Amino acid sequence: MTALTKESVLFESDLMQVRGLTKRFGGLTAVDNVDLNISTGQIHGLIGPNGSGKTTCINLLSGVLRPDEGSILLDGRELANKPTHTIAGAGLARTFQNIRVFGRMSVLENVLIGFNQSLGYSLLDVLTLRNLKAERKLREEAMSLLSFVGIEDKSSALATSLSYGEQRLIEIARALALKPCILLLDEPLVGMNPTEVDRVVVLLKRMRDQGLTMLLVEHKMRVVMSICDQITVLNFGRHVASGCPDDIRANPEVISAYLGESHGIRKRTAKS
Amino acid sequence: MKNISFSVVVATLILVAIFVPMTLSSYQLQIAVMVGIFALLALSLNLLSGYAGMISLGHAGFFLIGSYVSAILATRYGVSFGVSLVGAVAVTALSGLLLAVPAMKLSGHFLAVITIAFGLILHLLAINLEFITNGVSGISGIARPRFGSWVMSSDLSYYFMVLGFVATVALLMAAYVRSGYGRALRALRDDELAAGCMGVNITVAKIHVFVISAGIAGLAGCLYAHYVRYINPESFTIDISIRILIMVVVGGIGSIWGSIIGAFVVYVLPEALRILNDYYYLVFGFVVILLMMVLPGGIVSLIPGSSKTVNNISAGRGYRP
Repeated sequence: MTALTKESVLFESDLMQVRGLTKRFGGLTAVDNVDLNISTGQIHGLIGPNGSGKTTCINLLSGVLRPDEGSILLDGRELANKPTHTIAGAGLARTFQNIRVFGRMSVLENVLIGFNQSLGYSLLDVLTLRNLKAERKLREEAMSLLSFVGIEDKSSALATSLSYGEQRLIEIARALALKPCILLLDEPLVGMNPTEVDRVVVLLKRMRDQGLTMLLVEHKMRVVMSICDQITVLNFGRHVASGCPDDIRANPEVISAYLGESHGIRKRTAKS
Repeated sequence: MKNISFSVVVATLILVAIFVPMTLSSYQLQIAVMVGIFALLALSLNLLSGYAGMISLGHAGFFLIGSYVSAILATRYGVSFGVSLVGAVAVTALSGLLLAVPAMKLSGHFLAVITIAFGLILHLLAINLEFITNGVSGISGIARPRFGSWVMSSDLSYYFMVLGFVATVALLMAAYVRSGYGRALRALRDDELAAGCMGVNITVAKIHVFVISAGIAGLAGCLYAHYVRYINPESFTIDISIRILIMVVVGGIGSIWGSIIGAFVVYVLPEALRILNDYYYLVFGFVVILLMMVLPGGIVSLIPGSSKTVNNISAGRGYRP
């Protein structure tokens, strides 16, 4: 609780603006001229059928993949084609769909990695043992992030010894340690049981209440519709629709994207 | 607290390292000095392999550079020991960039092959660049360190100097790997992509670790050259690289004490087995295999309380998620 409120000032950023984002893999255009506007303090849903380019989008935004075309503005700063650590330093944090915790490090150390760009001490301080006080402060901060996500009792365990649900919580705590202005969540609810899902939904709402902007890729529609302020729908790498959850639910193009073209056509012919 | 028993073992080891050498024969003392020099090499490789996850099978190459730079500075230019030491460490550290560059693109087996090539090439250069290295005849007449009018001619005083360097390097390395810089190395070892996304500058971290690791090996090379006083290319073959790797793994990969203990065991064991004549390498190999099967976390995992370094649990077969 404490750790986030302190940084809530940092969370106040302008929206993220993505223009004409395109990524081709050989002949396949995985992401095709996608625009995205994310407002400050909102949970922005990114949905679409399997293979519609959602994860590719997250990989492009976080610098894991380099876009072929397009611009990514975060707080007015161009992030397209920048290396991952620069993008992380600019305030964009992410989690991974297929969990990527640092397996041979403790849970606490996983979170501490997030402070890497703001250690508060230099290499010279380390070699003269003058970093210990700053280090202790970082550990306290990391602990408060772990208690924010609710796994502080596991802080000294090996990261991979935790359950999948808990490992996703490590990823969230670790991402928060970057003090991001936007957090990209790539299917954070996969492999979780209903209790864990409810816990994470509460957590995400609390993060939003404290001013954190999020881009949420998720397949659990009930959750997406209930917590997202805005939703963007992709299909075959193209932008299909954007709007609030109610508009998206009623949008015929979205329905046809999810249920298939023929279904949409049949529905339309039946009406006429 | 289980840390107490760990401290007791460590304190005992330190006392042994300080007092036992005073009672050793000159042959045993020579071995003790070489153990210290190899402990530095094992620490150097451990930083690279145990913490940053990059296997090097060419560490004898860095050892060679440090030795030759020292030898050439001392014999050809007659510089003092201090200058020779700084020169050897600086040049070897810079040579670390030679491997840092391919390590940007390659990892795992591919990087291991590159490091083998690195070691082989340096060995060949030492043989063939005769105008610099004096070829297979090697360089002789390297002076023992001299401070004012006092020459460090006794093996015991040399041993204590090496011990001082080992202790200093081990302490600084412990501080380094526990800091944010060391965490960055372990993060890129576990998952390079995720480390980048968490703000770790992979390029900078890899340059750091190669330069520091090479620098430590250069220090070992300098201490070696000034100790044996005669070096030739045959002291820096791939055999040495492999032996350093065995020290790191047998001692406990990712553990600083492990490297020191590993250097001791792997250097002393063959000497102790010499009575077996032709069979001693066979027995030595068998013991190493046995150790790896029984103690995948290395000998250091025998010390109670040492498992607080997460790496021990996770080394080799002992790793259970």
